[in-house]
Amino acid sequence: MTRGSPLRYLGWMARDVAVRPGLACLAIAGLFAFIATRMPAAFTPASAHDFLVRTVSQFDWVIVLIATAGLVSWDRASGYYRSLFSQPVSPGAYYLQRWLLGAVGVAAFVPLVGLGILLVTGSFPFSGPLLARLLLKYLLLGGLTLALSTVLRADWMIAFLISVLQSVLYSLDKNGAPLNAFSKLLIHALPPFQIGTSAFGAAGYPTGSELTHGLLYGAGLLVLALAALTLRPLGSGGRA
Amino acid sequence: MIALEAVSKVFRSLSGRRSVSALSEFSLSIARGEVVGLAGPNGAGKSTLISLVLGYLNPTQGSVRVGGLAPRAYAQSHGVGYLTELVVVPPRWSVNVTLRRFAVLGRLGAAAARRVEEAIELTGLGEHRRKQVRQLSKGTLQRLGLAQALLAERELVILDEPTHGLDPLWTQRFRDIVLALRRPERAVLIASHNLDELERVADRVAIIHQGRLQRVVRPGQGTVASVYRLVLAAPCERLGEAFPDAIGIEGRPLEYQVRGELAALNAGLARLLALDGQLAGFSAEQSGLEREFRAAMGEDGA
Repeated sequence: MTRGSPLRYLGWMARDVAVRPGLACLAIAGLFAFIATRMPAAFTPASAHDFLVRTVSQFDWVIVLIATAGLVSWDRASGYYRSLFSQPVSPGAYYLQRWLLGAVGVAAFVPLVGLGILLVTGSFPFSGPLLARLLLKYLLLGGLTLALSTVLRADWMIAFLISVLQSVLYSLDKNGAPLNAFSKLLIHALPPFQIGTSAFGAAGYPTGSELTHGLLYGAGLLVLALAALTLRPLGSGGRA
Repeated sequence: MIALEAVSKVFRSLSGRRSVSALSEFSLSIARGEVVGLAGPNGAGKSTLISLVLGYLNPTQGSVRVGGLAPRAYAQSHGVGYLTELVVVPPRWSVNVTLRRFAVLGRLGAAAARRVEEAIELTGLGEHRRKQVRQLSKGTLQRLGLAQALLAERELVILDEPTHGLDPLWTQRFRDIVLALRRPERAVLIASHNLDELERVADRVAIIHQGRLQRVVRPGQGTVASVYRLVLAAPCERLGEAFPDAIGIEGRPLEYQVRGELAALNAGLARLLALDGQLAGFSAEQSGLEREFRAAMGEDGA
């Protein structure tokens, strides 16, 4: 373990993730299971699978935002960072570890909802492509929220608005609506959130250049967040 | 250990039109083995200075080095025993959990459990160990902050307003704790409004006002002019021969205010006793540090 590594704190951090975003995700999974009990037709394995994919796909952004909202900004605003980083810990490594744990939590959401559906329908649905899509969403939307969180308090809200703007512009462009040059530039400059749906090929798993674009974009967001955490002191932002 | 050279820090508004100078051309060195106080009124720049030493802010001009390294690099590799001005801990954590977490983060390894127990014992938190942070009184929370800061044996300890919210008993105990912190390899920086406390524990006190270092005072070396109260048991007509500048205190015919350096005061007392003056009491009314502080603030009394 290198100096400044927060690996030794992994257990405590996992507990924090399980308690804060974890409980919220558990409540959402429970809500989906409850909805399943209200479905008029009896579930078959195929319909349980469809139900899982439809519900999780519609709310994946909520799960991602719950897992990443205020990751850095809350510690900065509360002043908690002052005690935390007087310890021999690197802020970049600490928040990257926390972000990765969030990814594990988000990945656990799919089998968790599946388990809820199993309890009420007797059928355990699982979808690998759904899980991959959710993780791609986490990389892009969660990466954006983390990057924004290093400088802004309203990180999740701004990340959400950016994702809405990008989705609207992308849909308009895809449907042939006339867009000005700036809007077209925005479509390319903003995170490619559309890959969560369009990059899934015949095999059901993400493939192709669009996927590569998404992965590189997400990695870029993480690099940006780490650069901000390294170069921008945590106490900065105080104004005259 | 700490070297601040011509450090300035300016906070600017987002538009850049407004700016506030929090520190200006501030230079100070703190060696290992020293306990240095930082005194100044609210808004003087004490917290900004501490943030610079911890690497939570970058200076606008000048340089800050800690242990020969950039401040953040030093904190990340060595850790700093740091008590924040306002102790901020997630409110649902218990005292025990808070200290165990910081012990893990502080790389205490196998010694973690023992050090947690020692810190709890030192700060008298035993009866509160299972309480959540949100249930703690202000003074107890401050003691938790102190316990956290002292968990590991750090070479740099920074205490920001350490007696804030402490009752008189714990203020007294705090002095003992700081005195026990002295090590040849360790530097201790204490920012406080409490001049009496700084005078008792610090080797040097840096007085800061409006972001500038006004002066550095060495308490208790006898070179600092002070104000004392002299109380006689009976009237003494020749008091003026011993203390020519003694000022009678209104409504108290046997009490006088006298000023001077320690050597002159001792000579005056010896002369007074030789003149058959009967001394009932002699006590510091304004400490040397307080006097220096008031002078640095531009107030009368210097």
